[in-house]
Amino acid sequence: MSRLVVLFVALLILPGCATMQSEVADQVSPVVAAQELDSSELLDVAIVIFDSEELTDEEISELGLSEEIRQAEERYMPIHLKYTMQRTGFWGVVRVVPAPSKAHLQVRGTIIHSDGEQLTLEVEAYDSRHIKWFKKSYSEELRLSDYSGIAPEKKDPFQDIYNTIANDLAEHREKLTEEDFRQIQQVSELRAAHDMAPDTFDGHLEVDNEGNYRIVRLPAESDPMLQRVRAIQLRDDMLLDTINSYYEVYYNDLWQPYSEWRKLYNEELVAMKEVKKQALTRQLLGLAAIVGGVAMSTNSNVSGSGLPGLMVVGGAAAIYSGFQKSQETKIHRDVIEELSISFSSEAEPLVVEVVGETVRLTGTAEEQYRQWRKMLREIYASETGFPVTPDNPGVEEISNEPAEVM
Amino acid sequence: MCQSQKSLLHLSTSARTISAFVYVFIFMVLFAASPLHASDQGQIESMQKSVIALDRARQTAFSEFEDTSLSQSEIADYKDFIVYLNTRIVNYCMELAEQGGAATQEGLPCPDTSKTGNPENVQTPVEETFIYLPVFEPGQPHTQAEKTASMDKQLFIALGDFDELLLKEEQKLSARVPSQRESGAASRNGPYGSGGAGESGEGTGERNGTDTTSVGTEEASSNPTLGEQTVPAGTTSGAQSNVGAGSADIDHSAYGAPGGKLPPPQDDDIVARQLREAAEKETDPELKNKLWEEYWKYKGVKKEE
Repeated sequence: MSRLVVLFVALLILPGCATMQSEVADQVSPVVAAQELDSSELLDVAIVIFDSEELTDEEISELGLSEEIRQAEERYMPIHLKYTMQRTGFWGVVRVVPAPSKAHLQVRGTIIHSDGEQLTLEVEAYDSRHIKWFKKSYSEELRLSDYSGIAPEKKDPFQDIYNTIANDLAEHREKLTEEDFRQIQQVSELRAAHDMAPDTFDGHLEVDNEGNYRIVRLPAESDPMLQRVRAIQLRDDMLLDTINSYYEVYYNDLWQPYSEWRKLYNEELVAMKEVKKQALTRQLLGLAAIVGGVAMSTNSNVSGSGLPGLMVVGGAAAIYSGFQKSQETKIHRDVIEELSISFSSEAEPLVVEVVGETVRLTGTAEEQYRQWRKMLREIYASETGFPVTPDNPGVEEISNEPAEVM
Repeated sequence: MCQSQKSLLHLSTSARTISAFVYVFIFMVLFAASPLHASDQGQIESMQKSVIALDRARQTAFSEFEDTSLSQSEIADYKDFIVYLNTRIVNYCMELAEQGGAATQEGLPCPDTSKTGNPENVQTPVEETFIYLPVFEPGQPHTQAEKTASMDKQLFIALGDFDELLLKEEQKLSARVPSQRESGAASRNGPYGSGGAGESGEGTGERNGTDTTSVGTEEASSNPTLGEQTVPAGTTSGAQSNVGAGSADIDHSAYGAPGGKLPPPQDDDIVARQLREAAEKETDPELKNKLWEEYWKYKGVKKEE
């Protein structure tokens, strides 16, 4: 008997443990810097447009989710995280970027699940040295009251998740030493310099056995090539600022339809779940009544009364009522589907527009960068007397992907 | 008067007339041969005034830029503005050099033609060291240093072109949804919002198993929150705060404002706002006019005649 109790308790606890790893707390307050930080302690952050897991058949057919909605969220969520981080005062410039970059700190996210009721994200952060800060899952299930007081940039219904992510990043940042800050900033600059002028900056960095970048030597502050690269890097930052302006326009345009969709969706989902629960209960009770009535009718002591017959009829009515409730769930599901289709059609052109602008700008910039790289190579050859090398620099291309190290 | 005297006087008058014609002819020939026609001269003077006006605005921006209390976003705003001013100045200087030669740049803060772009000779913020392009006299460079400097020039002209491209993008964005962008920027300085996270606690516990604890909550509870204090890293530029102040009653038709009125300040992006502010601050009427011209050019509005 005691074994059974232990097993029962274990069964109750285990699922709880599984969800506690990713569930965020309620009403998480964002941690902010107590005072303005010195620029040497400010890291620039690049939040890459989120990825998402492929939608399941159930998510599409039962929950009415669509690829268009998911694509909209892949852009919306990093932008809202950016706003959340900007307000903390812990960071330098926080930008959303279309692809991995060489920023001081890079944040990447994957949408595991998202509807108006529940959001599950997987987020990882790593600095320019490719040292991973963390990789965590965050999950939150909303109540309808979470939709009160929402405001663009400031409060999303899932604000607890955004605050928790920002707090985790701030917590990790607090652990950095002065030397860490300096290395992260220097490595970021050297990687950008190597990308633009590989001939000049080859050998300044090396990748150790763990896949982390290490500084071998630093260029002189007065190095003309470094000055040129900085001038180019400034343009790259300005380009990203322009792209972010497009993202902000997109976010503002998306805010209202997305908020409305999520709220109505949540209401319908809650109603549908309630009706489903009632339907199941009624069907089970009806079935129990029928089984009971049939059993009683076979019992000689009560066969003379009308009770068994009443129970069978009542049970059948309950089951029928349960089926009616099932019909109601279908109505809610249809409403959810309709809402989602309507929102998808609103979100899609916004996504197409922002993706189009991003591709156009990055395409233009890529062509410019290619020309500037060529110019830098020629200047290098002119300064050093070495012959101009072909376009392929012949040095190891350094990936922006995170190294798998802890 | 005797006949001989009359003849002498006639001859003398004829000689004067002829010489006057000769002088006029020579003057006309010289004037026609000069590259500086009156209209060109006027255009050159106009460009020179523009360079001076923009440089004064730049000097003001530099001095404000050096203010150590500026936030990161304010620094970024100033950088954008200074880059814009640099680009405009360099463009005017190049145009002046094309139209009237190096002499037209005398006394102006144009790139030094006698040097080869040594950045130490240039007073600029660190990031913009190379925005002052080394300019060369026509002809092929001979020494290695000249060759390098020439390539530098090409590179930074390309960077200048890219700056222009980005500025056009900013103009396009400003025209698209100015009010949204400005209100978005302004709202970042405000409190966290009356409907903040606190309101979410009003529920009645219908959420099952989701109020569980997670990462980082201890730190959250022991640290100051946004609801309790002002965030140190504000985003609205100090330069923006008093922009447009006192300009509402002024007739701006003389400065090219359509209908004599300025657009609402919230329709301006950061560069437009700073140009507007620089124009408002400028006390020299001519330079003030030039800065307003720059403002309208930036806004893409043609000056009303």
